[in-house]
Amino acid sequence: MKRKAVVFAALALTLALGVVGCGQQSTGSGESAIDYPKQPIEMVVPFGEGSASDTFARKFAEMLSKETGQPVQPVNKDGSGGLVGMMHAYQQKNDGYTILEITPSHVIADVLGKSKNVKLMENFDPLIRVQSDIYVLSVPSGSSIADFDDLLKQGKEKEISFAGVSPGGLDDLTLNAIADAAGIKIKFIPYKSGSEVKAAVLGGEVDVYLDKMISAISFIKDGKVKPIVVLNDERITKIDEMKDVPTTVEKGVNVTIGSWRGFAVKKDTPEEVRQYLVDKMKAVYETEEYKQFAEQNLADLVEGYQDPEQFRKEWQDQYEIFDKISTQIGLK
Amino acid sequence: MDFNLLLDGLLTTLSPGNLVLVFLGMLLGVLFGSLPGISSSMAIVLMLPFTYYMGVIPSIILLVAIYAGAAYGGSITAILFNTPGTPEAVATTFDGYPMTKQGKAGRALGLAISASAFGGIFSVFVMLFLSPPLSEVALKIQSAEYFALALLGITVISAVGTKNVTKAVISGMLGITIAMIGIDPISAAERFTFDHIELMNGIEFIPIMIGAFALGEVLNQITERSEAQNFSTSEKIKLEGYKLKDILKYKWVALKASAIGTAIGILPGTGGSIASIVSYGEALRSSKNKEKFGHGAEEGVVAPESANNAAAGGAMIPTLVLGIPGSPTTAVILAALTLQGLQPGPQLMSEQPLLLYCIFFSMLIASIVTFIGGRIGVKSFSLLLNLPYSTLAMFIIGLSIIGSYAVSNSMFNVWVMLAFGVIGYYMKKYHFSPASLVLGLVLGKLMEETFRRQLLITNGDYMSFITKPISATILLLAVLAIFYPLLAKYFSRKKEKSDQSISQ
Amino acid sequence: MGDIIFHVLLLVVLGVFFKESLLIDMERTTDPIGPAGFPQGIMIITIVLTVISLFQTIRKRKAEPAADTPHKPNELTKEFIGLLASIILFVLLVDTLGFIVAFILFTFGLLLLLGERKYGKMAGISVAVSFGFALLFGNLLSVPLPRGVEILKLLSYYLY
Repeated sequence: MKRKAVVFAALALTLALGVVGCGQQSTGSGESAIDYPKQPIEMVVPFGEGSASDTFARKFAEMLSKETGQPVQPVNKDGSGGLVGMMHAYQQKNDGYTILEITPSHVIADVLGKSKNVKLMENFDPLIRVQSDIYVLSVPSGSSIADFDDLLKQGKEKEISFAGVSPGGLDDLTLNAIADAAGIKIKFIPYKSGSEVKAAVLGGEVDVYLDKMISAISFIKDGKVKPIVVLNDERITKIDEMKDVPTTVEKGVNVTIGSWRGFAVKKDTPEEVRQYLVDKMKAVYETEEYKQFAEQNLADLVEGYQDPEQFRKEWQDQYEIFDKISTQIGLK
Repeated sequence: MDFNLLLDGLLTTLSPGNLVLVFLGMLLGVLFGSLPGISSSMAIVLMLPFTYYMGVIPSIILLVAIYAGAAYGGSITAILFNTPGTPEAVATTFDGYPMTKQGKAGRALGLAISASAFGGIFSVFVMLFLSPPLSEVALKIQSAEYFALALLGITVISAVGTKNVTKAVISGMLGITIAMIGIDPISAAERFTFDHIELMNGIEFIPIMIGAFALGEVLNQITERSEAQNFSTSEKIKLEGYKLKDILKYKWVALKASAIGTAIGILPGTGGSIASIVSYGEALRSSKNKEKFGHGAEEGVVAPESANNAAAGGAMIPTLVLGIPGSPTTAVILAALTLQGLQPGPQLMSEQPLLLYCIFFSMLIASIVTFIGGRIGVKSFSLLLNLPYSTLAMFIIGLSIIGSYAVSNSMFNVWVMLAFGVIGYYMKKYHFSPASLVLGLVLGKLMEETFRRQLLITNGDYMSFITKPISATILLLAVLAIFYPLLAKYFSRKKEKSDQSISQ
Repeated sequence: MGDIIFHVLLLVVLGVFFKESLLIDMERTTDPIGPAGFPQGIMIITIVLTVISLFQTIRKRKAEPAADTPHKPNELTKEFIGLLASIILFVLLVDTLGFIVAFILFTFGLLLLLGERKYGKMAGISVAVSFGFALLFGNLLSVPLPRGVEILKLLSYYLY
């Protein structure tokens, strides 16, 4: 590690001299010792334009640009549940000019060994986690399932169908974790998009609606669906409609998987650069503008921020849970 | 229906600032829509940063105007270069490009504009008056009905692109097979990925479409021209004017297509591309001169263009009433509203009563402006056809490459485009149908996914497809569509025979 | 003849796909059909139809051998192959050269291939189109066009 730092310092010095040699840009700012960033930074968004993760990344990139003084350009590399984007980021230099947005799908890709060539936990280092989201189970209004206890009771007798997105993904694994912990029989009905899930639930094609808080909340507020449990250890008190909804933990089902969004850089990015990015991202997280954005998106129900250490631990924790579940249900 | 709000909406939309946004949005939409690989949702994502500081009403006015413009824009490149600018315009190439080859590009573009405007206006009126009841009906459309709809769409494959029915069906089936590549939508098993991560999400159909149509056609032209070493001349093009009465000639085609387009647009799982295919099939089925289809039938341009614009208006309906976006583009519009601090969801209409009316007027005005302003656009776009073919070919290939790349910013898609350019060329040469291939590709995934999901939900009850009334009705239509041509042929042969026997 | 070869190639490709479909992992199948059922059904129909079509073609060829001779242009010309080759070259080089340089070379090459000989005009068109596309797609539409390496990468930031 130390040798690398020395090499980097030498490199930085040469570069700095080069810049001075050009005589143009050297400002000699004493603010930071490192010569970074001096060109635009690419933020790889491993999802399609317009998706929730994309909207978030674009907003965050815009605010990060203001902090760093260099444009942070979102680059969409969609495909294979985030793998294509991760592969792209992996193929770039580890100079800190490429940042990767990550979600639990990347941990799942690691678990299932979807790619032999690139692994999140082996090839990337965490920056920070920015958002966190809780899962909530709801039933359509007028459902025969009254509450979570009723669900557990009925689920022991017959198969209950659950709507969600992407088979083999976060929804599927989370659901199977619940079924495993509660000992109920389930059937996961996958849909192509969140909109289709909602339409199927409101149309009564499935029994239970599994979704993240952010996208379920407006239907809950409207009374179209009734929340029966949140996958968390404490109740959500920020929203009136959710105050009386029990948690899995208080019902004795110990499953608290949630979704999150954060950022990572390729392994062995110079320590100073990584630290710089962590600091700047934290600064963005703490701005009034970001707080307002998070509030509007209901992304502030639980604390989103995690520092690199906590974030890495989160990866490992989720890895273990998913590993266990996917082995059980034959995904692996 | 509240007339005060209606008036309010009209005045708000007509305020100078907002009116400029409608025009601007329409122009941007047409431009983005005409570029292959740039979809309307991408266009709207790009405009998001500008809307951050605009306020709810102006930004929604801008965004829906872009949406309306893009729905038309795709037809321009589809008609002129056989390169659908958006997936929604794929059916427009079937007859639009043959018209161009016959020197009737101006007329084709004119019809496309009128039809687009017609479809757009039709659907916004439906949106204004019938949103709540239609959203309720839309929820009745579930897996079984989606499957029936996909099957109805797929019946078209036997009839497009070639006279040889067997080869057309083979082409369509190949399209469905290609659609199976990637992770299977029900149990997440990998299929035909050959251990490539690029293939795990399947092959995007836009590069295939661009390859088979645009590059395939350039290869075709080059082969024909290289004999005569004739790369410098351009196609002769006559710019015909177009009038409102042209569309009135096809009013029933346009009306039916608009109704189909609006209905399919409402459904979250389907959008403009399927709407245009289904309405093309319907126009073909009910037309008296079927043999003209694929060779520049004017109905073949009117139907898909009315439908895909109507689908844009239709997609707004569940977005506003239920908070469930009817298309990827409306999902982005909804995201834009969230950035403004609005809560998308069922309560949107009661919290923002003015919204519906402003959207109505914005899309209405955008449609009308398209109709009037399209004249200038047609002239300037058609000028491109006057370029020497060498320059034009370079231009089309350049657009094809960037367009394929831009779909997911990867060179892999350019390889796909190239491969299917060659495949498309040979398919056409040997009387297979690239058009059927693309239709199979668009509908194959939907068909399989919904079929298997219905069986999963009902624990393998195959009868459930015909015990549900809506699904049964659509399936009946599909069966009729398959057997109608055979029956018609049979009867006409019989008639011919009896005619012959009489004359003898 | 080409027609028959095309049919045979189709059958080969379908065969490969069918063989691959037997390897699909059915372990997690939850529905009655499973991940392999649908594609296999479709492929069987396609194979049957292709064989039928192949026989029709052969029969037609035997019945009227003259039908094959009406003049069909041969596509193996230098333009046809050159066009495909230049797209391949472009894709291979674009990551190193960056979009602008690669596209200028590509468009210039295409014009040359298609018989243009006014070099000044050709260069003008290539440069104009390349910069135009870079500005339109790279800048206005924020498509992340390849930037190339080293100095080319740094320069590209001035444009898009």
